[in-house]
Amino acid sequence: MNEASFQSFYAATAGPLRAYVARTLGDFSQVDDIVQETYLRLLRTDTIPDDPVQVRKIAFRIASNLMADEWRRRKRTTPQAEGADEPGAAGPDPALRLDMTRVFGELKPQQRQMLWLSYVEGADHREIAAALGVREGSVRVLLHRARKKLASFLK
Amino acid sequence: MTTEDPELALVRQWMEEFSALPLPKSRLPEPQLLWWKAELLRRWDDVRKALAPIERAEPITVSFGVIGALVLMLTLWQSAPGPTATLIFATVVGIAALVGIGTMMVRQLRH
Repeated sequence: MNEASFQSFYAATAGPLRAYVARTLGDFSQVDDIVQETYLRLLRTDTIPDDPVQVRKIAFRIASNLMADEWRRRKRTTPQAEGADEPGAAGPDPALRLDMTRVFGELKPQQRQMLWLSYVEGADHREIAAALGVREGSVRVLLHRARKKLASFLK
Repeated sequence: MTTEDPELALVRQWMEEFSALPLPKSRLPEPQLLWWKAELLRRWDDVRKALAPIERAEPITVSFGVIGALVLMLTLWQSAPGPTATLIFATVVGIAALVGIGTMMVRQLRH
């Protein structure tokens, strides 16, 4: 990957990657640091595939691992409130925005990642398994549980 | 024609709306900056990889040096008269200690 191809890759992925991290992390203080670290780690990997789709999958996998590290770090230190406010976010209905963020924050971190990858990124079970480091066979069950739980909050 | 499970449809619609919510303003650096930062980190990685065998070999070379010094000291001690032997002993031990302390200090400075 050269500088020009990285710039076009960045332009295409920074938004979706940032949204994935922001919505599944449930707290906005670390989002940009994690996204930045994702790109730095991606660029430092020994072999980057030519296919941008593959590179995008690698980027999401790196971001997922970094978020898992962040959750582990938070568990060791002081637990923080998830579903925090969104400073600076522009939108027509702040109350609705906060409600949706809180509902999503009620799910387990891995459930949030699975739902996002499945419904927003359109990833299949194999891709979700690769991104989250779980067995492909487990994804179907885990995703079903996540969906059930979210539906129960929404009903 | 099959109809979608209502629960599935509810979750799908909710996820669509949720993903469309605006995010706080980005503080991400420009891609050029990220590229050059990664380039710098890659160079550091390369330097560390190149130096790794030397760093691994360092304790071995120091050990060989100390063992060599001890062998030399024993050889000279047996062949030299009493007062000279003490002087040789003190000199060799002093040099070995200086080499050891110097090596440890250099390693600490590197890390």
